[in-house]
Amino acid sequence: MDLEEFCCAICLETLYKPAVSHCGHCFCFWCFHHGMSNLGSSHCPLCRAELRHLPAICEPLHAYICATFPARAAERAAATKLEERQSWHAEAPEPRPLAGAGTAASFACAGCGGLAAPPAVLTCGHVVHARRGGGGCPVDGCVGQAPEGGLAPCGLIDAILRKELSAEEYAAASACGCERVRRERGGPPAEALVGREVQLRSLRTEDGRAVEGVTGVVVGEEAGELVVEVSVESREVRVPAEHVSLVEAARSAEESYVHFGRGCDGCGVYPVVGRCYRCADCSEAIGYDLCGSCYDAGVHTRDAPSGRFNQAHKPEHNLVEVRQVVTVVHQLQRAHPELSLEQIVTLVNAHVAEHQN
Amino acid sequence: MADINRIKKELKDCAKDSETSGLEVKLVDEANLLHWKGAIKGPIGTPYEGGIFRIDIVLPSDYPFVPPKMKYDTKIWHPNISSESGAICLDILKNEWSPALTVRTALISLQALMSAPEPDDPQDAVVAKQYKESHDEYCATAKFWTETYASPKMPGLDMLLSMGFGEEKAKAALLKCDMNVDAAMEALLSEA
Repeated sequence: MDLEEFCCAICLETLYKPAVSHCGHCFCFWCFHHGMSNLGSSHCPLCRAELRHLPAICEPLHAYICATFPARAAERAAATKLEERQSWHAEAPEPRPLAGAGTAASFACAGCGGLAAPPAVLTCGHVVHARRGGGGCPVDGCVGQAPEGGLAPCGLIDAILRKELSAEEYAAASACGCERVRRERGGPPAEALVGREVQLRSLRTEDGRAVEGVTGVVVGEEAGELVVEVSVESREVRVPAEHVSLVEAARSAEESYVHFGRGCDGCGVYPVVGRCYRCADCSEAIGYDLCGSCYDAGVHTRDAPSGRFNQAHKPEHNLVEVRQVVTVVHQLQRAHPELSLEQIVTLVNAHVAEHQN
Repeated sequence: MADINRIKKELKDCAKDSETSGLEVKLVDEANLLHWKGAIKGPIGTPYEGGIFRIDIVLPSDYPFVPPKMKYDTKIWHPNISSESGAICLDILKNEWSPALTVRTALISLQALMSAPEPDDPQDAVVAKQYKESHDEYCATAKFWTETYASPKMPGLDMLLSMGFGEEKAKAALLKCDMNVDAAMEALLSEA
């Protein structure tokens, strides 16, 4: 494959320490990170799928690029080190040496052990077979996950596998047991959803636009699909069960508090919502934070390093809960749940600018 | 801190196919990579055909994570562009910006916007109203503005300017007289 195929769409350079989104798109670790909003939901720069997790380096892909283009990778490593020191004041994790680096063998599915074709990447950076449903990372103790909407195949890794494998080998790899796992995990059972309020992943409106986040009530089930009465156009649509998610009961103010700019060093959720814990002993400027569920799971007490930015976190370090300081942005967010955080911040900025004049 | 390497790459990419794309960019001052001037050809089959539209482009310090600031230097009659200031109403230059877009793709979007105005999301309410209510009139005005402000240099214009006539008046006179310089001069003199 040509060097140009390994180009990051953000910096327009060769991918370095690439992270792969659940929608299958690759960016350099830092490009991915800087492309995210520290306020609220972030979107994939290429397809605008919602991104909820900090980047995690896809180690086999990194190893493949380093093995195939060693000179270019060394240049990128030096440039990135310099930027990290001068501008970011933080470090991307250092991938571990990998067995079979630079060959198809390194792209093994973390679930079944076979080659991951078609390949997709979990929020922890582990490679698995592409799947439609959500679920946790199959690696023991890993808090990575596939979002409810599933994992789309990564086009770049797929191109590598198709180049390195014969057509028969590729077909054999894609006919593995993970297919079965995928179907079993295809969202909640349809009959359990009847009568419940759900959110549709996307809806094509009558004038042909695709709208995200429309809610509706499940009124029945037909031929394996859900019949949903949508709230906006008062009509019924048929959708596969895995294209909807349950609308959860309203959360308390504490549970819905957004820690702007704070990401979880365990599962990577960004920004953290609800309880958040910060390590009192890690000295890195970027800090070491955990969301409530990673804290409950004891991610910070594990021997394996768990920080997403190469922090020297130790299991004996102390974590303290981060106080929820209610800012004017939080108040506006509660008063106007219909506005996005970006809209609220724009309004606040406009208000401040007006006062200064 | 803006990504200087990326900006240099973008400049190079824009220069590569300026013949076919109908786009052109250049730096205002070689020492400042953050201030560009762009030029786009008016799309064929629209009232903007035949015009060259100049765009002022400023890259903020967080570029490419925030959109470039763009506005029309050339006056244009278009529902989504202010006829007064040249300010542009286009989603990808605001909330819908993505760092995977470039100045080049933004200029292409502007070309597309000139081909397909969005009168329901207007920047210039007067133009948008005219676009929706009396479309022929809109086309005629847009065409007149293109010919008056966006046409590549008219033959004879320099001569009229050197005689001391104002630019807008001189252009209008030339248009009225089918580009005949003598007739235009006579018209201007008789006016004065």
